[in-house]
Amino acid sequence: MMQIRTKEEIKDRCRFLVSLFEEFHKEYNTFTDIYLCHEIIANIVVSYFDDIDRMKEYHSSIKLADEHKIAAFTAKWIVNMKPIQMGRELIKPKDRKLLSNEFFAFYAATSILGISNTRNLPDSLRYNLIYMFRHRHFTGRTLASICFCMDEINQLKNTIQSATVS
Amino acid sequence: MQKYKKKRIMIENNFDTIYDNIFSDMELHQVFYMREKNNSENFDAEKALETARKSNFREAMDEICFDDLL
Repeated sequence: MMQIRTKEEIKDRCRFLVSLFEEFHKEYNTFTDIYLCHEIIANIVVSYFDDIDRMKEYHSSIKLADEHKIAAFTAKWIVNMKPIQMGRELIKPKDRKLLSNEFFAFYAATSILGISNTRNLPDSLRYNLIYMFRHRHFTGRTLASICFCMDEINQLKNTIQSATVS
Repeated sequence: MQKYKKKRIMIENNFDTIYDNIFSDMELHQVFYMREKNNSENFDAEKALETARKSNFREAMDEICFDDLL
Protein backbone atom coordinates (compact mmCIF):
# COMPACT_ATOMS: atom_id res chain seq x y z
CA MET A 1 0.00 0.00 0.00
CA MET A 2 2.83 2.35 0.94
CA GLN A 3 4.67 1.47 -2.26
CA ILE A 4 1.69 2.49 -4.39
CA ARG A 5 1.52 5.85 -2.64
CA THR A 6 5.24 6.40 -3.22
CA LYS A 7 4.95 5.44 -6.86
CA GLU A 8 2.20 8.01 -7.14
CA GLU A 9 4.55 10.56 -5.64
CA ILE A 10 7.18 9.72 -8.27
CA LYS A 11 4.58 9.81 -11.02
CA ASP A 12 3.39 13.22 -9.81
CA ARG A 13 6.91 14.56 -10.23
CA CYS A 14 7.07 13.03 -13.73
CA ARG A 15 3.76 14.70 -14.52
CA PHE A 16 5.17 18.01 -13.29
CA LEU A 17 8.22 17.73 -15.58
CA VAL A 18 6.05 16.80 -18.56
CA SER A 19 3.80 19.85 -17.91
CA LEU A 20 6.87 22.03 -17.46
CA PHE A 21 8.25 20.84 -20.79
CA GLU A 22 4.94 21.76 -22.43
CA GLU A 23 5.25 25.29 -21.05
CA PHE A 24 8.89 25.40 -22.19
CA HIS A 25 7.94 24.26 -25.68
CA LYS A 26 5.19 26.89 -25.88
CA GLU A 27 7.81 29.50 -25.04
CA TYR A 28 10.34 28.04 -27.49
CA ASN A 29 7.89 27.23 -30.27
CA THR A 30 10.66 27.86 -32.80
CA PHE A 31 12.42 24.72 -31.52
CA THR A 32 10.71 22.41 -33.94
CA ASP A 33 11.23 18.65 -34.15
CA ILE A 34 12.05 18.16 -30.45
CA TYR A 35 10.28 15.79 -28.09
CA LEU A 36 10.48 14.61 -24.51
CA CYS A 37 11.66 11.05 -23.83
CA HIS A 38 9.41 9.71 -21.06
CA GLU A 39 11.71 6.85 -20.11
CA ILE A 40 14.46 9.41 -19.41
CA ILE A 41 12.02 11.56 -17.40
CA ALA A 42 11.22 8.52 -15.22
CA ASN A 43 14.95 7.93 -14.71
CA ILE A 44 15.52 11.59 -13.83
CA VAL A 45 12.83 11.52 -11.14
CA VAL A 46 14.04 8.25 -9.59
CA SER A 47 17.69 9.48 -9.58
CA TYR A 48 16.57 12.80 -8.11
CA PHE A 49 14.78 11.08 -5.21
CA ASP A 50 17.77 8.77 -4.64
CA ASP A 51 20.06 11.81 -4.33
CA ILE A 52 17.73 13.66 -1.97
CA ASP A 53 17.17 10.56 0.18
CA ARG A 54 20.88 9.79 0.47
CA MET A 55 21.49 13.34 1.57
CA LYS A 56 18.69 13.23 4.15
CA GLU A 57 20.00 9.91 5.47
CA TYR A 58 23.55 11.28 5.78
CA HIS A 59 22.60 14.66 7.26
CA SER A 60 20.02 13.69 9.83
CA SER A 61 19.30 17.38 10.45
CA ILE A 62 17.75 17.70 6.96
CA LYS A 63 14.10 16.75 7.38
CA LEU A 64 12.65 18.35 4.29
CA ALA A 65 14.44 19.32 1.10
CA ASP A 66 14.19 23.07 0.59
CA GLU A 67 13.41 24.62 -2.80
CA HIS A 68 17.11 25.27 -3.53
CA LYS A 69 17.88 21.59 -3.30
CA ILE A 70 14.75 20.61 -5.24
CA ALA A 71 15.68 23.06 -8.02
CA ALA A 72 19.35 22.08 -8.03
CA PHE A 73 18.96 18.31 -8.08
CA THR A 74 16.19 18.48 -10.68
CA ALA A 75 18.37 20.67 -12.94
CA LYS A 76 21.40 18.46 -12.34
CA TRP A 77 19.64 15.33 -13.57
CA ILE A 78 18.07 17.14 -16.54
CA VAL A 79 21.55 18.27 -17.62
CA ASN A 80 23.04 14.81 -17.02
CA MET A 81 20.35 12.76 -18.70
CA LYS A 82 19.14 15.13 -21.42
CA PRO A 83 15.43 14.23 -21.69
CA ILE A 84 14.81 16.52 -24.70
CA GLN A 85 15.58 14.61 -27.85
CA MET A 86 15.73 15.79 -31.44
CA GLY A 87 14.27 14.38 -34.61
CA ARG A 88 16.04 14.13 -37.93
CA GLU A 89 15.48 17.69 -39.06
CA LEU A 90 18.75 19.28 -40.20
CA ILE A 91 19.89 22.20 -38.09
CA LYS A 92 22.63 24.82 -38.28
CA PRO A 93 25.70 24.26 -36.08
CA LYS A 94 24.96 27.46 -34.10
CA ASP A 95 21.28 26.69 -33.57
CA ARG A 96 20.20 27.33 -29.96
CA LYS A 97 18.08 24.22 -30.14
CA LEU A 98 21.30 22.34 -29.40
CA LEU A 99 21.18 23.90 -25.93
CA SER A 100 17.56 22.95 -25.29
CA ASN A 101 18.39 20.58 -22.40
CA GLU A 102 20.57 23.19 -20.70
CA PHE A 103 17.87 25.84 -21.21
CA PHE A 104 15.21 23.46 -19.90
CA ALA A 105 17.30 22.74 -16.78
CA PHE A 106 17.66 26.48 -16.11
CA TYR A 107 13.94 27.00 -16.82
CA ALA A 108 13.07 24.24 -14.31
CA ALA A 109 15.36 25.73 -11.66
CA THR A 110 13.95 29.27 -12.01
CA SER A 111 10.36 27.97 -12.00
CA ILE A 112 10.90 25.93 -8.83
CA LEU A 113 12.65 28.89 -7.18
CA GLY A 114 9.70 31.15 -8.09
CA ILE A 115 11.80 33.48 -10.27
CA SER A 116 9.34 34.71 -12.88
CA ASN A 117 11.46 37.69 -13.94
CA THR A 118 14.58 35.98 -15.27
CA ARG A 119 16.06 39.42 -16.03
CA ASN A 120 16.54 39.81 -12.27
CA LEU A 121 19.50 37.48 -12.69
CA PRO A 122 22.54 39.26 -14.17
CA ASP A 123 23.46 38.49 -17.82
CA SER A 124 26.81 37.09 -16.74
CA LEU A 125 25.12 34.66 -14.35
CA ARG A 126 22.68 33.50 -17.04
CA TYR A 127 25.55 32.93 -19.46
CA ASN A 128 27.84 31.24 -16.94
CA LEU A 129 25.17 28.89 -15.69
CA ILE A 130 24.47 27.65 -19.21
CA TYR A 131 28.25 27.39 -19.72
CA MET A 132 28.54 25.31 -16.54
CA PHE A 133 25.67 23.04 -17.62
CA ARG A 134 27.33 22.58 -21.00
CA HIS A 135 31.00 22.13 -20.14
CA ARG A 136 31.60 21.63 -16.42
CA HIS A 137 31.18 18.79 -14.01
CA PHE A 138 29.26 19.89 -10.94
CA THR A 139 27.45 18.35 -8.00
CA GLY A 140 23.88 18.91 -6.90
CA ARG A 141 25.14 20.52 -3.72
CA THR A 142 27.23 23.16 -5.49
CA LEU A 143 24.27 23.90 -7.72
CA ALA A 144 22.06 24.18 -4.61
CA SER A 145 24.39 26.91 -3.31
CA ILE A 146 24.14 28.70 -6.66
CA CYS A 147 20.33 28.37 -6.50
CA PHE A 148 20.41 29.91 -3.03
CA CYS A 149 22.37 32.89 -4.43
CA MET A 150 19.96 33.19 -7.38
CA ASP A 151 17.03 33.30 -4.98
CA GLU A 152 18.73 35.96 -2.85
CA ILE A 153 19.56 38.10 -5.90
CA ASN A 154 15.97 37.80 -7.14
CA GLN A 155 14.51 38.85 -3.78
CA LEU A 156 16.95 41.74 -3.51
CA LYS A 157 16.12 42.98 -7.02
CA ASN A 158 12.38 42.69 -6.29
CA THR A 159 12.80 44.69 -3.07
CA ILE A 160 14.78 47.41 -4.87
CA GLN A 161 12.23 47.55 -7.70
CA SER A 162 9.26 47.87 -5.34
CA ALA A 163 11.10 50.54 -3.28
CA THR A 164 11.85 52.50 -6.49
CA VAL A 165 8.20 52.36 -7.58
CA SER A 166 6.87 53.53 -4.21
CA MET B 1 6.09 18.93 -35.26
CA GLN B 2 2.94 17.20 -36.38
CA LYS B 3 4.37 13.90 -35.25
CA TYR B 4 5.28 15.38 -31.88
CA LYS B 5 1.78 16.83 -31.46
CA LYS B 6 0.25 13.45 -32.15
CA LYS B 7 2.58 11.83 -29.66
CA ARG B 8 1.77 14.48 -27.06
CA ILE B 9 -1.98 13.98 -27.46
CA MET B 10 -1.45 10.25 -27.10
CA ILE B 11 0.58 10.82 -23.91
CA GLU B 12 -1.95 13.21 -22.39
CA ASN B 13 -4.60 10.55 -22.79
CA ASN B 14 -2.46 7.67 -21.53
CA PHE B 15 -0.15 9.22 -18.94
CA ASP B 16 -0.90 6.63 -16.27
CA THR B 17 -0.59 3.66 -18.64
CA ILE B 18 2.76 4.89 -19.99
CA TYR B 19 4.30 5.60 -16.60
CA ASP B 20 2.87 2.45 -14.98
CA ASN B 21 4.58 0.48 -17.75
CA ILE B 22 7.87 2.29 -17.26
CA PHE B 23 7.87 1.72 -13.52
CA SER B 24 6.76 -1.91 -13.73
CA ASP B 25 10.01 -2.65 -15.59
CA MET B 26 12.20 -0.50 -13.44
CA GLU B 27 13.82 -2.11 -10.47
CA LEU B 28 13.07 0.01 -7.45
CA HIS B 29 15.88 -0.87 -5.09
CA GLN B 30 16.58 -0.43 -1.42
CA VAL B 31 16.53 3.36 -1.41
CA PHE B 32 12.89 3.08 -2.36
CA TYR B 33 11.99 1.79 1.10
CA MET B 34 13.90 4.56 2.77
CA ARG B 35 11.86 6.98 0.74
CA GLU B 36 8.64 5.86 2.39
CA LYS B 37 9.53 7.31 5.74
CA ASN B 38 11.76 10.07 4.54
CA ASN B 39 10.42 11.61 1.44
CA SER B 40 8.18 14.50 2.13
CA GLU B 41 9.19 17.82 0.65
CA ASN B 42 7.85 21.32 0.57
CA PHE B 43 7.22 21.17 -3.15
CA ASP B 44 4.33 22.92 -4.83
CA ALA B 45 4.18 21.82 -8.47
CA GLU B 46 1.26 24.11 -9.28
CA LYS B 47 3.13 27.16 -7.97
CA ALA B 48 6.21 26.25 -10.03
CA LEU B 49 4.09 25.83 -13.17
CA GLU B 50 2.39 29.16 -12.50
CA THR B 51 5.82 30.82 -12.25
CA ALA B 52 6.82 29.13 -15.53
CA ARG B 53 3.67 30.49 -17.24
CA LYS B 54 4.38 34.05 -16.06
CA SER B 55 8.10 33.83 -16.76
CA ASN B 56 9.94 36.04 -19.24
CA PHE B 57 12.57 33.33 -19.61
CA ARG B 58 12.86 33.43 -23.37
CA GLU B 59 13.23 37.20 -23.67
CA ALA B 60 15.87 37.14 -20.94
CA MET B 61 17.81 34.35 -22.62
CA ASP B 62 17.50 35.89 -26.09
CA GLU B 63 19.47 38.90 -24.84
CA ILE B 64 22.54 36.73 -24.39
CA CYS B 65 24.89 35.40 -27.06
CA PHE B 66 25.65 31.71 -26.62
CA ASP B 67 27.41 31.21 -29.96
CA ASP B 68 30.74 30.33 -28.37
CA LEU B 69 29.12 27.47 -26.47
CA LEU B 70 28.09 25.84 -29.74
